Amino acid sequence: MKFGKRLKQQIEETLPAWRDKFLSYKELKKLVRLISSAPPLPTESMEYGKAEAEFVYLLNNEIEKFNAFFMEQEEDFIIRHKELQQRIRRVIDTHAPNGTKSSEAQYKDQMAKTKKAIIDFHGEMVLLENYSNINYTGLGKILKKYDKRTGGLLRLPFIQKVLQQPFFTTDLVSKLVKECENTIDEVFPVEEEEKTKERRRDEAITVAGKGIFRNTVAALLTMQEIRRGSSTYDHFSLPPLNLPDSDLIHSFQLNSPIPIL
Amino acid sequence: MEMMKTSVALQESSLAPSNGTHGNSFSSPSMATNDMHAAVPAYNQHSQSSAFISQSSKDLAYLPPISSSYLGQSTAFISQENKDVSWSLDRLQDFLDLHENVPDPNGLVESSNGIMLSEEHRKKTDLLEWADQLISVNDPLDLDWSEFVNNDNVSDPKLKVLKPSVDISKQQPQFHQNQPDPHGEFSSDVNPLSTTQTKPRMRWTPELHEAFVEAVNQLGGSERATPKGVLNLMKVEGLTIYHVKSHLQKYRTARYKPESSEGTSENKVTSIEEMKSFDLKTSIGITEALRLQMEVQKQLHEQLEIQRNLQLRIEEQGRQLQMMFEKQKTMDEEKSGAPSSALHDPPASLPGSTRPSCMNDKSEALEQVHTRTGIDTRNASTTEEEGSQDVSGKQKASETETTAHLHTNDDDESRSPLTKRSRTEK
Repeated sequence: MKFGKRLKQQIEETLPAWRDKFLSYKELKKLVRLISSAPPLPTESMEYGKAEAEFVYLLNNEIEKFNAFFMEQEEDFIIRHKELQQRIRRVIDTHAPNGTKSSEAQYKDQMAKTKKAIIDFHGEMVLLENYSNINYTGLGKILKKYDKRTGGLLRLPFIQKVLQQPFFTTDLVSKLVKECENTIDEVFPVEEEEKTKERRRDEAITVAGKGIFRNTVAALLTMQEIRRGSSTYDHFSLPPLNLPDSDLIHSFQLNSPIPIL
Repeated sequence: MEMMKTSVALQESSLAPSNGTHGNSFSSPSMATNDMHAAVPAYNQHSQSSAFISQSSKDLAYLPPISSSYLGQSTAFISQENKDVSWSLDRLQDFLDLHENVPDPNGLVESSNGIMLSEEHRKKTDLLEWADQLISVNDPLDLDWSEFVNNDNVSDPKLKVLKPSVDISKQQPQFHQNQPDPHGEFSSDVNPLSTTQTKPRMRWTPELHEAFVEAVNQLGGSERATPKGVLNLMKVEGLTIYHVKSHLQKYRTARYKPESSEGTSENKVTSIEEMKSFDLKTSIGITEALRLQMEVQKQLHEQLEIQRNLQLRIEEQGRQLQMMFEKQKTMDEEKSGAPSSALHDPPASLPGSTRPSCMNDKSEALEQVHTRTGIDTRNASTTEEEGSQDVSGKQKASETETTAHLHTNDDDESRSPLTKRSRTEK
């Protein structure tokens, strides 16, 4: 039940448009229970075959859902990525040393807006990566449950197919994320002024607000939680996650209605 | 766009049943019908159920009446909604996609990927051309809909449907993403286990997008460029006008309403105006906030990459293990075919050499583990092992050795049959 709860938390914290795009973990679990509670005898292999086919059918539906959503988002990201690059170029160019096309204040304002835009964009892409991964994890878990309860051998071959699905092949998004990070480092170099970190943190948290930041924090913590050792830990489980700033990140959970752990 | 998406979702949910489901071919159409009823009330429900259920072989000669019956339904929308012809054609396409499903008598979960009859291809192209002609009409109102409106085909329960869908993306060769040419990548590698008939699902790449932007600029900008124009300029094989159209829509949104395409409403909690009204103290906070946000995002990204790589490796190991196990099994089976005279000494460490009676049991157990029909296969195999302990002990010893090599952690609770037996032995 642990993963199910985590997943539910993630979904609640996620961007609204994404809420119904996640794995229907609970429903699938119910189905597995249903299938296994009426154990077909070896003679009734026909029944069993049908139930398994039904299960596979639903899983494929889910995968299709992921693929559709993922590729849609990916397409958006490709477009926005290019647009942002161009936008930055424009802002920098219009503030060229020779032409005072824009005043200092205007420049600062535009830069600030662009900076926020690009950081948010980065965040959204990372959240899509997280979306991909958490659905994959969920699929793996439900398949494991299925095999365990019905004695089937569905998991291994099925997961092999999943690994090749568009929603799991996140290389492009990953590349865009890195390009974003590079752009940010180039265009918005980090100030040396880091001493006031502690004092400013509370204000910073208030300002950062909801949405992407909160989502990201939630995602990190959820990941950590999911990977904690459990009774069903096996060869196919991921090792525990050690977040470098775990305490700091935990403290970011401001006024969260559903605190993770 | 929204409606299209809904219709797509509906199509997808009703399409999946297809091959590989033994007795499910009839449950799915009714499912689909319900879905359709729920979301598309204006449509003639009766004709839809009949269209779904009939899966008889298709004849292209029926093209005009079929299309007209579909269009007859969609005109209702067109007259109400905007003049977007291609929307109705999307619906048409979705309908056509549906009927590629033919129940597989063998019940094999087999995909029709890559298997394309030349005849089907020809039919497809014909259909595409016809669809294309409709699109090329700039002013949809010019189209003579009257000939389509009064159509009685809808009441015909034996409505024949086209078999080949316009889903060419499934049969298109897979292009690589890092080719310098702007080739599109299609999701034709999707789900060999299922035969979900997706509509032409296009996976865009930056290179492809570059070509798109080039074409758009040549045509005078995003406002002036038309989908057809862009499509023709791009000259990308397999790219359809639907792809271009939807992409163009996204493109326009991104350019002229950057706020709406960036993030969601939740994200706009801190608008720049609010931020500006803060004094200097909090303006430092803004920088700090962004810095923190970036930090957290970077971390999540990094962890996700690591996690993903781990997952890939784990599955790869599992796969290799499985392969080894299968090899083992075939070896054992071959050995079990050998006469008992070959096997005298029980305590041999080779996997295949055991006492004949136990050998048969073992191979049987292996067999059981591999079939999907048995439930308590594992229990069965373990009880048999307990009956032949010393011999199996040797076998397990060799097996555990193998597994130890492959797995980095010594956890013996793997689901795989090999280590499972060793566990019970303990």
